[in-house]
Amino acid sequence: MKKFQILFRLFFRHQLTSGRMFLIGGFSVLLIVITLATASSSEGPDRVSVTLDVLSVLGLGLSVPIVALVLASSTLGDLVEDETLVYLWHRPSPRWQIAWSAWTAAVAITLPATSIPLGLAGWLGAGSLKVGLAIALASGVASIAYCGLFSFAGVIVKKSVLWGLLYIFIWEGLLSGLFPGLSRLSIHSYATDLAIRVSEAQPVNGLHSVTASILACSLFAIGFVVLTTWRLNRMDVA
Amino acid sequence: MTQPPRPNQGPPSQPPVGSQEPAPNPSISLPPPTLWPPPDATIVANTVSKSFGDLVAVSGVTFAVQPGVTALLGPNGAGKSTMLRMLSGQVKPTGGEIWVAGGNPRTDTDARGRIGLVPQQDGVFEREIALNVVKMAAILSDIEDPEGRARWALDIVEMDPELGRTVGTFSKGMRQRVKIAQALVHDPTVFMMDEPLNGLDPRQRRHMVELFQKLGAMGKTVLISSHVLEEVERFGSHVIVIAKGRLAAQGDFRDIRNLMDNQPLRVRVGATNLRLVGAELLRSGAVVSCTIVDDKTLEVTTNSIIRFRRVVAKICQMSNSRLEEVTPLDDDLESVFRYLTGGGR
Repeated sequence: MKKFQILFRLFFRHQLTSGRMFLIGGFSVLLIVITLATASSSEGPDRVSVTLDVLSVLGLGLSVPIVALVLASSTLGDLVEDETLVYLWHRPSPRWQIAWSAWTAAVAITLPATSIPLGLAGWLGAGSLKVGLAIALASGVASIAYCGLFSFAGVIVKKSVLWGLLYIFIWEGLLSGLFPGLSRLSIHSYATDLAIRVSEAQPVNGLHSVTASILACSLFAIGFVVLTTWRLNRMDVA
Repeated sequence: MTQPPRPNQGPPSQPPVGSQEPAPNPSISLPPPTLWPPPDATIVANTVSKSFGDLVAVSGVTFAVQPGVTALLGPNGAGKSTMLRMLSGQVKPTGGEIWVAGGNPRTDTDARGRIGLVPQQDGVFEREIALNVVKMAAILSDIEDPEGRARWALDIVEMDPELGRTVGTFSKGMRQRVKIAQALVHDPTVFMMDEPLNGLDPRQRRHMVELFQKLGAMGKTVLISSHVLEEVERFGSHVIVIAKGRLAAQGDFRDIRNLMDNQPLRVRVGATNLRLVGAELLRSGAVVSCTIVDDKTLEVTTNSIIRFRRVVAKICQMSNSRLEEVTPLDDDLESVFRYLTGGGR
């Protein structure tokens, strides 16, 4: 536990650069402003629907994955890049502790940094606390999955932010929308379905169930942390 | 502690020293060791190779390192950093086996816990203070009193544990000392240090050399990669020389030099009646050239130091000369290094 704590602290502090905080703050403010501006042009059920649509695309589809990408890919990715990972990697500690603590540290910032502004935007935009909570829940569930994925990206590719952006725009944004079968492998799709189901604001035909969405995102997170451990065990650290 | 791998685990069938495929200067032939690997070896590399795509960085290198200080030498690009990274488990060899402190450092957690590593790269956790960096190393190594131990390690490298500045604001020398402190903190049995003297001022260098010598005298294995030959000479006399990815030689550098029989060796001779002594030495065939440096000193070049030693006193006696000095000029590490790495004289 002591090892986990010290690693968590290191990764947590490492992510908290002023540039990143500025980016996250900017995203949050922009998201709330855009949501309110768009929602204010509609009334009643339409307003809820418009808010959900805006937050699904800009919030769950862009803000959450991009914030997760910037933070999670840096936890281990930066250490690989500046070659400081060796100071952790070479110690007689199991590598899964490094992977889990990196993921936990990324979630510890990403989850509140996305769920709070998205929930607030949902609540204020739709004028419904239930919508706000649904969006916040969906954002939190998506965060844990994205943090797993992008922590793994940090140890598997160089320029993980670039690859992550390609993934967000091409896979999550384009392909999973064009080919419905691919939505089973899309974190965005599970998160959106979860928000709609919990808010009960739109028809739910054909959507993933609440259980399936939470389970799938949890499995994504666990799977990618396991893959990160696997990668740490096999990679060259120099 | 587990013993090094024995024959069934694939030790080299050839002597490990001077037995590699063509080294840059293939004229050295050291006697084969009686037992391979030596029973007290703490580091064993057995036909280790590493390729990066088409580039062969290390090729079939075999050696063993015993407790004490050993310098890993080689020119830039020779493969010594790659070798050190493989030995510490950071990089997986393309071929061959590595055994360090009881196991394979890449897969054996316990073996890794017995290694203190000072990597080459400058970076240490920039946003942490030195005490936290070393304390973290202690915690990750399951040390009971991590803070106390971290303070102890920082004291050894002459760094104030109370220093409130983050490592990112440190000079290169200060970072280097933090790196050495984190390697010391868990009291490992094997140290692997890649250019540990880089960035240190002369006084700190002396201090570190003394520290490495002390660790060696305590029975620790200290393997140091360095290109600063004068300092390496002070670590001790045991060297492993890697050139062009191959093992060029291993052993006491003075022994290696003595085995360079067919290499011309410069010797300074101090005597009276110099002209006559020089002429007689040339006539005897014991030297191939002779230069008068000043009134009392000759510098000769010989192809056989043994033959030269046999005749020089007799010639002085015959020449009615008083022999005052006989000093080999190529007996230093640099000469050995230049020869082994193909740098010429």
